[in-house]
Amino acid sequence: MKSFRLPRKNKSISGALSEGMRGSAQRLGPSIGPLERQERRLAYAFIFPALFLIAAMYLVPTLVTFVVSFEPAKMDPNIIQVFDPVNLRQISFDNYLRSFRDPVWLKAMGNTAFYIVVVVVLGMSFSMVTALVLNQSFKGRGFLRALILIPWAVPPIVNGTTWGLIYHADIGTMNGVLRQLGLIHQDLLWLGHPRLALFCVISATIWRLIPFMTLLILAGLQTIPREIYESAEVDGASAVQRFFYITLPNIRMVLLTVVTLLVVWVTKAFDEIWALTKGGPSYGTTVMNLWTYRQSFDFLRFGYGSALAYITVVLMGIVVVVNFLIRRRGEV
Amino acid sequence: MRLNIHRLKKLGSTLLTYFLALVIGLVMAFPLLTLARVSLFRRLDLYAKPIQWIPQTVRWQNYVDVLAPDHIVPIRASITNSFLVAFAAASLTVAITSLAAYAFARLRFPGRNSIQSMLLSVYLLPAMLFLIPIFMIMRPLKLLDTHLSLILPYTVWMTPFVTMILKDFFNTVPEEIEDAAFVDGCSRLGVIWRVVLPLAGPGLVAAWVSAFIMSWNEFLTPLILTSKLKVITTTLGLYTSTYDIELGHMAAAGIYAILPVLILTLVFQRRIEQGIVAGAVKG
Repeated sequence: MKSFRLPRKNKSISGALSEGMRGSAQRLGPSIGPLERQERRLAYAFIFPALFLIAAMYLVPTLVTFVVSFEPAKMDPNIIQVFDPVNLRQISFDNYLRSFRDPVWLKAMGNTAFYIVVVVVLGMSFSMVTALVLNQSFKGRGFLRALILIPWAVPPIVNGTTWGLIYHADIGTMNGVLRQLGLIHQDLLWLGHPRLALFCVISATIWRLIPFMTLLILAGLQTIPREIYESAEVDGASAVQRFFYITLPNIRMVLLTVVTLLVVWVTKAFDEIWALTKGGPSYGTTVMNLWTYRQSFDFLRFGYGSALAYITVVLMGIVVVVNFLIRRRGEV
Repeated sequence: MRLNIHRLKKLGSTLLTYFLALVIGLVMAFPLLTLARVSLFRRLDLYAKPIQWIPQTVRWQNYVDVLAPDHIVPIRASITNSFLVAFAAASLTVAITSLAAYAFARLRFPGRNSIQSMLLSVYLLPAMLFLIPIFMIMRPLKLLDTHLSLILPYTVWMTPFVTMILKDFFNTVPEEIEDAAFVDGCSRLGVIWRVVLPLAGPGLVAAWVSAFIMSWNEFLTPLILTSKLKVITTTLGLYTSTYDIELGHMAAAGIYAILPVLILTLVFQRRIEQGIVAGAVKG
């Protein structure tokens, strides 16, 4: 069968054609074949609409936000104002410096870090167990798999509202369950205490992210060949040993991807907090994203909000770059 | 004897699997069961102590009452708006991204890899970075509180993710079929129209469904860019009414907001799962 294939390594004829043309183009100088030129033109025509939208709604706004972040903290939310000479003359680092003196922002950074750590530790542990269970064959596996996907379909704001009903002080099902089990005798004010409220908000976020975490880990588990486990079992390795010496090392790259994405998604989390606490009590659940929103759209300090958005991006960028570096070292 | 121990171990691990599956199932179902439970309660019964798990009188009326045109939860108007906006945004997204995804999967051009990485990196940025200037641009243009003010941002938010899952999908369409059409004298456009699109049908539908669900679930964008009742979306409509409202009504509205996307998710379960993995791994 193989001998009937083209002698090229490329699978496709079009690939082989353009490859051949590129070779001749290199010999003859900068000119390229008409077929390849046509293909390029088509490619640019195809990606143009997507690129145009991305440029108009992502890149241009990113630049505008950058300019705004150096302008006066409080300004009229009008694009013309951004390029008004009066505002442009006042460019300074004030907004960035102000953030270091903003106690709520500092608190929000701490809350965000705590948020991320708890989601990563608790959420990934739960998802790891779930993925290991789903990797077995048992009756009802298909049902459980469908159940796992459901949070992805639930609008995050409805998710927040739902957890509000769970943690409701008077009618909440959490108090109901705990009372029934005899663990508490008085209703707990879940959302009334800063630390407790933060845990409530985090639990809602974890529930929403379980499909992502579980499906990614499960995809990683399914790439591990069964034979390794079988031979390890023959050699007398216990289930715990198999997990730590075979499973974990084999999916470490997947886990790294999951952690990185969790950092990004958790930093973006907004809806559950908005539905449950709006950042309270006493800023206990205010995270960076929420404070950026409130500065911009509640207090109309667009300059300051833009600076906070950029600080968030830089911190997130560091995590992504670290992930990239570890990945490159791991693969070489 | 050894056989017995082996069998015992096997039984133990099976039992453990079922036990864990049960616990996981309960945790996953708990929030939705809570929501469904509250949606069927009368206000009085909700406050009963000790807690009533199952309502004594099931109150389906909550689902009817909340649909009243002048209800404090504007669910009737908002579901229509959400459908309209999500439908338009998902269709626009698939139209735009399927072209780009095909180019990334099949065509060769300078800058292919760098444009792809750029597309992926914007996906990671927080929405606040764009929402501030978009608000500043849309306000003087009087675009706030229009359906367009939601459709355009939604389309852009989803473009990177949907491009990647579609590119992944085009990669699974065997290139040999296209090559055969080329040999038969088809042009590139002819191949796309006659060969690729019919084959890509299921993938395009799945991408559309994912985009629809993502649009439907969006909250921060409408919170910032809309405030009027005529464009209010379901998610926003729910939130505007969390104070002093009959909890049964709110829960029923929540069920209404979940139902369309839940059904779509369960129908397209496998494809959505593939999309989540593909989109995340590339990201």
